[in-house]
Amino acid sequence: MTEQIMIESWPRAILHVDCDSFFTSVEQAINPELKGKPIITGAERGIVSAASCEAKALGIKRAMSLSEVAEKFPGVIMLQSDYETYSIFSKRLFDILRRFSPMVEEYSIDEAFCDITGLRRVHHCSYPDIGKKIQETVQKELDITVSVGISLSKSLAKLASKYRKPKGLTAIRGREIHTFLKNTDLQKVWGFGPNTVSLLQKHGLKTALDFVNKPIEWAEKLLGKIGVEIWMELRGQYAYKLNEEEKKTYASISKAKTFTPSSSDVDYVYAQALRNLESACMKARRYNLAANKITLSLRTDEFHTTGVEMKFSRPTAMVMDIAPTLKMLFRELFKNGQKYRQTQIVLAGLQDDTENQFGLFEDPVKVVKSEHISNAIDEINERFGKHTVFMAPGLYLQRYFNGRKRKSLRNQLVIKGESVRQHLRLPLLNYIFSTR
Amino acid sequence: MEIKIQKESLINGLYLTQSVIEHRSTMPVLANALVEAKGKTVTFTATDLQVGIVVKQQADVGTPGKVLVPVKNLYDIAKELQNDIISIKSVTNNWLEVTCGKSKFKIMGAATDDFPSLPASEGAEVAFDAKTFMEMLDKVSYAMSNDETRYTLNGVFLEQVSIGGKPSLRLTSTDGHRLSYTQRPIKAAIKLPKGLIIPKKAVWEISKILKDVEGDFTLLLGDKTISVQTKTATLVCRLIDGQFPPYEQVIPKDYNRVVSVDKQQLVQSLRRAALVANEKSKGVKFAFSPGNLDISSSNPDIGESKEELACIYKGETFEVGFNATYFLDILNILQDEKAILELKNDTSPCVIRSEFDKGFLSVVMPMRI
Repeated sequence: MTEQIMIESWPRAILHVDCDSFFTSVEQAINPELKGKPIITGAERGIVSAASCEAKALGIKRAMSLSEVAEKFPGVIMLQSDYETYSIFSKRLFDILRRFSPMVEEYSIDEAFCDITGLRRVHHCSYPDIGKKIQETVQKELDITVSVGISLSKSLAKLASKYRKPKGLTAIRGREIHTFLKNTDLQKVWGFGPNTVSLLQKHGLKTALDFVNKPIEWAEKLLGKIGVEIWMELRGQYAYKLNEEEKKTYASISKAKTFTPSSSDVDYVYAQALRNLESACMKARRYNLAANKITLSLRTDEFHTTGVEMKFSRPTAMVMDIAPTLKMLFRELFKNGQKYRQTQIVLAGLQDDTENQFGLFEDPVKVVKSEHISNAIDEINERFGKHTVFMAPGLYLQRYFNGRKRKSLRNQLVIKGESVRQHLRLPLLNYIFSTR
Repeated sequence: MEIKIQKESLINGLYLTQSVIEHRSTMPVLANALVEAKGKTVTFTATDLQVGIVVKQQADVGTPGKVLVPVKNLYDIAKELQNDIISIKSVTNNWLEVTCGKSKFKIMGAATDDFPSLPASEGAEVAFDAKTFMEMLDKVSYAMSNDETRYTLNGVFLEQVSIGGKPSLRLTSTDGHRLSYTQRPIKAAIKLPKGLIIPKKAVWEISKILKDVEGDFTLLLGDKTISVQTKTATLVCRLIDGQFPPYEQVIPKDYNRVVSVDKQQLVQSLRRAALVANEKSKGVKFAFSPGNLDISSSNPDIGESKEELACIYKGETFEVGFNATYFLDILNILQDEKAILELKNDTSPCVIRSEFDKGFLSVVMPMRI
């Protein structure tokens, strides 16, 4: 006999939106001819980063190698990733959600939480119907499908959205929590990794319901604060607050890029590392951060990774400041004759860069000047596209094919006076055409 | 070895040795002090391989000899013992018996074979007044750097300079953001071709040794080591091997704005302003106008502060930002009633001098706020 956990239905309503096969859905939205076909993205990385529903149905999984896909599933269409387009879609998705509720947390590129408590009156419908409206709006405006989960806490909403996919809509009311948890395996719970699950299983637990039926003290003793939070969340108590703020601060910024084919060309691999540094610095500057440590790692063809790090004498986020250090680290790490497939840059020890302490043994005027140069480069790149102006060794990137074979559709179709970022085929039209 | 020693002497001997010892050393033998009894004295020797110290104390030596003792344990025991006379006796297998009144301890020592010998004290010899040297160290040690990447700044730079034809010793330290030096005349010039960098730890240990010394002590300035000798203790320290930056170049000489302000008022204003400044950078804005100094700070997470101070200044209005902590560090060692600030612009260093101590100078670099 299972005891009911909660009597009320909706003391609070949290909605979780999860896009179905986001990257491939976006590709299908802007290229309707791909609809209904098995497609994957990630061709530039050599592994599958996302697979469409049709591809998933064939048995293709994330991180499968392209050669394996090509061999086993010859009909699959492999695409280069177009992250800029994905991020534009993501932004538009969040904008749609904000029309429904002012409280939106952008959890990841294709996931969001909304607090829709008390919004039934505004939208003249029940909570599940609000979810339905959101699904419809997203489909109509972006031509992608989303799965929606609605419940009393973030953890339950996330479980709900995963429950039926794609295009699922699942609502877990307070009085239904116990029946839902009874059918939920431990590993499905948000925050339970393989280690936690196996620990809980050793205590004889099988389902999420077994976990919440233990006393809270038990959860605390075994798993600490996190255990208590998950325990409360699963019982429909709102423990994880919605984080509406856009991410403003980082502890570290990491940029890594895999290139195929792998290369043993020292200039080319260095150019790859430098390009990552440029991207990392750009991001740091956007958030007004300066780093005091850099880590460079190189991954070989055999997936061995080696890394070195170095501290700076003054926090900085300027490529021109860091490039000599990078060169030094690179020389230390790079082995002649070895093929590399990935470089990674991590800028760590990030701190606020709005207040800048000058050093006695450096020329403040020079620091200020090189800041002006960096800002000017940022502005140019903002207007004309990322990496329009770059450090000269970046020219070596053109030695080999890397990235897209052809420009993305968006790039090709740009109209005069329009920037690449502004241009996007209107998915709405696709939708109309496809439903006609 | 068998000795009887006054509790106070034992504690004095162990106090200086235990502070030299590195508790996380990879060489276990270095957690010990070498205790040697001979004639009427007991010497305690300890080292962390960078700093070595030998402390002499009087004792009643029954049987001469030497033994390695775990300093921390013996020091803690000695502090708690009740009677004045403590007897220490080595028994078989490096065990030590410590007896005091009715208390009896048996603690494990170690064989003396592995204990490293200290580097020899050598170099140019100079006698210096202990109190003066302590004061000099106090005035510069705050600016030593903690940054491992700039290891030559992790200490105090000592050099011989000539002030008005008179030979003087100058101590300088900097962490790259602020700098301080202080100089005092010596009786006669010494043979010291280049300056030497005393590591941070030795600076603290020297201050401890000199604390109770009246009158002169001896400094031995070598190529690789510096030694400090007092009546009871000798400290030998390996110097930091490297080039101290050409600091004199960064002390501005062409400043055109001189501000005089009440030191105590400035200290208090800065303390208040620092409360709402950026927690990490502690940035505080100084706005100078004729007769007036405005101190303000702001932090988007907390709020803002503003405060007016009277000052003697007759130039044009200008603003400059400083780290309040850096400024307070300097003001706290300044014994004058007034602080004299010499400035140029918002990117040039500010010089703070003492009205009375002409041998003192300190520089702090501004920050952009």
